[in-house]
Amino acid sequence: MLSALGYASVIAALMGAIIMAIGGFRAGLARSGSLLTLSISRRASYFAFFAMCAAMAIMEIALLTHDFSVEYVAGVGSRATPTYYTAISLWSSLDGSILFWGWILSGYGALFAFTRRGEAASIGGAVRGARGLVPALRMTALVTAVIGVVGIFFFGLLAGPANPFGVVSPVPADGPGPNPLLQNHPLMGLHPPMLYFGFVGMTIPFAFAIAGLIMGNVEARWLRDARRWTIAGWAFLTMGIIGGGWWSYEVLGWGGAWAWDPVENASFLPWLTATAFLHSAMVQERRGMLKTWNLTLMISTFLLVLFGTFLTRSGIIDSVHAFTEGLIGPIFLGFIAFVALGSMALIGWRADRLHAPGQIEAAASRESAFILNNLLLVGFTFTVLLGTMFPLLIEAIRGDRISVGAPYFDMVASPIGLALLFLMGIGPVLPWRQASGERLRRSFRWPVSAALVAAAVALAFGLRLVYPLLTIAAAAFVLGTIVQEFAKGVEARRRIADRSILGGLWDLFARNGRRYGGYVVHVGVVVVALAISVTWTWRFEREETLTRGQRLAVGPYEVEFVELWGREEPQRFVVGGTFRTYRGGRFLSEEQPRMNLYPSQAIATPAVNSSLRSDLYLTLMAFDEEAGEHATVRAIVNPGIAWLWIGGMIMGLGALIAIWPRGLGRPGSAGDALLASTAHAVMVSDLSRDREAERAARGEADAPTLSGVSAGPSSDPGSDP
Amino acid sequence: MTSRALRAVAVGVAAWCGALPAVAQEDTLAAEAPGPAARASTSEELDALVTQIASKLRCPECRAQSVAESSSRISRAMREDIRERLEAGQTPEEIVQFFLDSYGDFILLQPRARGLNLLVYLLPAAGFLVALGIGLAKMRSRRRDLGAPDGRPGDPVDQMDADDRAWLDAAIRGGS
Amino acid sequence: MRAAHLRWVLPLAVLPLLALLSWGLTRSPATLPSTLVGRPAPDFELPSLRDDTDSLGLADYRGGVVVLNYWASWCVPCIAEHAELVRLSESYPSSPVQLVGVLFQDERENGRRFMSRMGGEWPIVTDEGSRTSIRYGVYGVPETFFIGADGVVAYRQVGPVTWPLIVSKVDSLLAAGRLLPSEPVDPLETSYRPETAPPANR
Repeated sequence: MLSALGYASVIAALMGAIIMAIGGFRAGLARSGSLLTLSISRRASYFAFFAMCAAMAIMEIALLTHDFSVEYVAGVGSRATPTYYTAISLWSSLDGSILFWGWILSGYGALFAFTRRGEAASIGGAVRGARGLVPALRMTALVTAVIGVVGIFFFGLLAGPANPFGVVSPVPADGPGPNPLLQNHPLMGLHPPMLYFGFVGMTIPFAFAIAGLIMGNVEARWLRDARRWTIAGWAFLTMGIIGGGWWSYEVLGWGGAWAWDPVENASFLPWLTATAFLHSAMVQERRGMLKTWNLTLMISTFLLVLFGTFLTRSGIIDSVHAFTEGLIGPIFLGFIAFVALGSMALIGWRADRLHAPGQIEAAASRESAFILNNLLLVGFTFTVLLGTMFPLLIEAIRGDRISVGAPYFDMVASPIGLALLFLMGIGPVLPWRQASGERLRRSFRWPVSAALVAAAVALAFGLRLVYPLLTIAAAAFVLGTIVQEFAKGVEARRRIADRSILGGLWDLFARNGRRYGGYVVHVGVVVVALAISVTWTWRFEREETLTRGQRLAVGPYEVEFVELWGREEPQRFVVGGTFRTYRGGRFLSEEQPRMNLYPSQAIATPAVNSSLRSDLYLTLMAFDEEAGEHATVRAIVNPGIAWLWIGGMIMGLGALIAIWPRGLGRPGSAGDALLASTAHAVMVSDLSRDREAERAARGEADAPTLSGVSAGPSSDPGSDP
Repeated sequence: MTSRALRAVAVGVAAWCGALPAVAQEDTLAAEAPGPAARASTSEELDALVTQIASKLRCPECRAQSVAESSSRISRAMREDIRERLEAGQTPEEIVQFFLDSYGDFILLQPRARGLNLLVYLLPAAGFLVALGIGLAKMRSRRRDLGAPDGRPGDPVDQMDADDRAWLDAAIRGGS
Repeated sequence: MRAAHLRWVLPLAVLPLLALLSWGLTRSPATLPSTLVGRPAPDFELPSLRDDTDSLGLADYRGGVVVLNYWASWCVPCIAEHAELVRLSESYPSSPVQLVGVLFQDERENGRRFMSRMGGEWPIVTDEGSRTSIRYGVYGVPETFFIGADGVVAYRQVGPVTWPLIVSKVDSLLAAGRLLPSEPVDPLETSYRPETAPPANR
């Protein structure tokens, strides 16, 4: 019965998506499009979401009650699996993960409809014009329609080839359980959802892009909305990717977090193009340039999401994620082709109309910094894509099997990453259009000094390797510029609104969260870059066979083998080694790396002693089965790797700040109202200083300055901050 | 006050960044002097060479890990095999060639730079240069001194947000 | 950048990729071209599974066709192909065709238990340390090598073998070495029933 209910829910969601598409296109395109049609399509979004919630709930119930008459449960369920892993096995296999995807998609669709709920009312005047509904409403309708089309595909998959609600008869007594690798760590409950919220989230910017192309309108409000939705998806994607690295580190036992595996690359590619878009969008916002480029980026991000899912699940490339299903691969590819060709046609049709005047005026300007940023990110995308697909290409041409692995990707990623790191410090400080030499010197004086000091200190400590040295210098440089920006902002708030340092900081985030949240993200990136550099350079390992009581020295740690133990669990047999860890002679912890023996495979689970300073990573490699007298342990010291996860969280925090709805600050005093934007205040004080300097240079008499108008009574225009 | 604080923070940040090598290295430098309870380990140079060779080879049954990184049984067997061959006097090149003969090209983590494989090395660099060239050419040919709205190139007023500028205009005109 | 040029970015990037992916769907990622085919099979001297003191080598079977099968007790497809191997060991009674098994990454006890449960009397060696497996480029199980009378590897099967495959390869090797079987074996006969009932699958 659960099967029937679940399937009915999926069909209901499919119908909702169809109505979203039909109603949305009608309201968006037809002259006779009406508010009613738009309203129906919006309600269809809610309906599809509720239907998918029902489907999800039914599947969870089926899993948790071990209802093996449901096909998906029969495939991945097992009475022996612990409850937590049973619950999250919803997304452990192909059909279930498509169900999950569909649910998130419907959720985003409903959220979009919700954010537009008062739209018609707030327009005030007529909602219809000569061409149908007014443009704002038509935009909403078209975005809804595109989400609907994507929904038709995914819900259609669920109703057809990827149906998780099939009926199994006769009902088996038990099932095989989820893939053992996916039962090994609680992080499995976090990494796929984060990643999926990120992937699916890129559907909305894509819908905006298509809607914008159809309407030929990609102006300010459209851009602002598209960018906000992208930041949301981007935040989840960032944490999903870093979470995936964390999972790989804690579960797979090789002591690393990123192997440039095709599946990892597949999640990284849309992240790169989304990041590029977030930056070039600012150029469009400020100067109206790069419209077609931005549309290309948004569409590419979505295409890369689809491509990544296809790559991961179609079985084209062997992977722990690949659960091959015969028909889904070609269908997916067909959908990708459909989306790609449709988008290309739209761009080809609209490209000329979107072109706007505007030039890059100077090499040293924020525009060119952003364009260089885009060049690097898109180049990075292309390179990773090439490396991932190259074995397939060679096999198609030559019939040979080759590998393109970590050494290649590390080699190409390092210079690009380093360049992007430096650019992160330069871009935000450069002014738009052009920069005067004096301004540049002033802005970069301290950050460059910081970089030189850092490099000198590192050299003094004996570091001679080029990449880590440059990374450290770049990190100091970027942190220097960010500290400088915050200091300028806080100081302006202090001066003008008489705020304390903390209060000033709060104001910066509350009033200009986009900019200062972005800086926080950059801090996170710096932390991640440093963590990668440090871990990669100073990683150290030892592998030894120890008898009981014997110790192994690895770095500043010592590892003592205590004993072996075994324990029977419902779904597996676990053999573990108990090891005592010491640092500098002092006892740290007792660690138990394990070997989980499932019927079909053996999976080594490492034990990690983490600290902010470094991780001690232990893997049980082999053990003496008869007497338990000796065990082979591999001990890896990973300095600073905890900062990789911390950096990821900082990035997420920064994105959250950037996207937080406005209106967080208190409605203020007259002084506050007068200087609502702190960036403005900073500009004004700089401005007045420039004017003073110019007038002094020209020998002119004093004249009223802009600053005289700007400030409240507490300002001091000419003083040096 | 803030400028001094700023300098202090900048120096502090720089010093901390620069000191990272010391912090990280300390964890590994200590490896030179094993404590009294530890067993003497096998030759460090041999270890390093084994790791170096193994990190070029792909673990045959793993996703994308090198033989050096992987904890899988076959990788451990391959590492021991490499060690034995080194001790028997084979050169790293000979050892890599042996694995190539057994497994084929796919055992190398990085494709050999010859024939069609060269594409994977050349295309990214070429792509970058081409894109950079196009960008620079466009900039140079279209670069004009446009002038800011109030006629002065690079005027700081021009660097404000549209919102800020509107506010400023209003403020100048006497509104608020 | 000129919008007119930008409209080509997506097509240039996406269309070749789509073509490549379509092709990719048509082949299986699990098979590898084998470097050993056409080259002499590496010799080995490994302890026998049933008797640790005894050791067997490839040289012991020189002059006849050797079917070298890498397997393990934890390998699920090996169970599937076991029936075919048993059949092979009982066919070709008067021809120099020898089936030899190599236990890959497994404990002797597990291997012995597997064989006593599943049946089969052909010689099996254990490859502790996996050195021989490495020399043969084995990266998973099951894998089967068909070696001719001249000691050259004629074919390598990655994954379980089927009866038609076994017969076609063995027959062609016998013919090549002028070692024709006296009683032809029917390659199409697939409804093979062993004398004892097969054990229940795991």
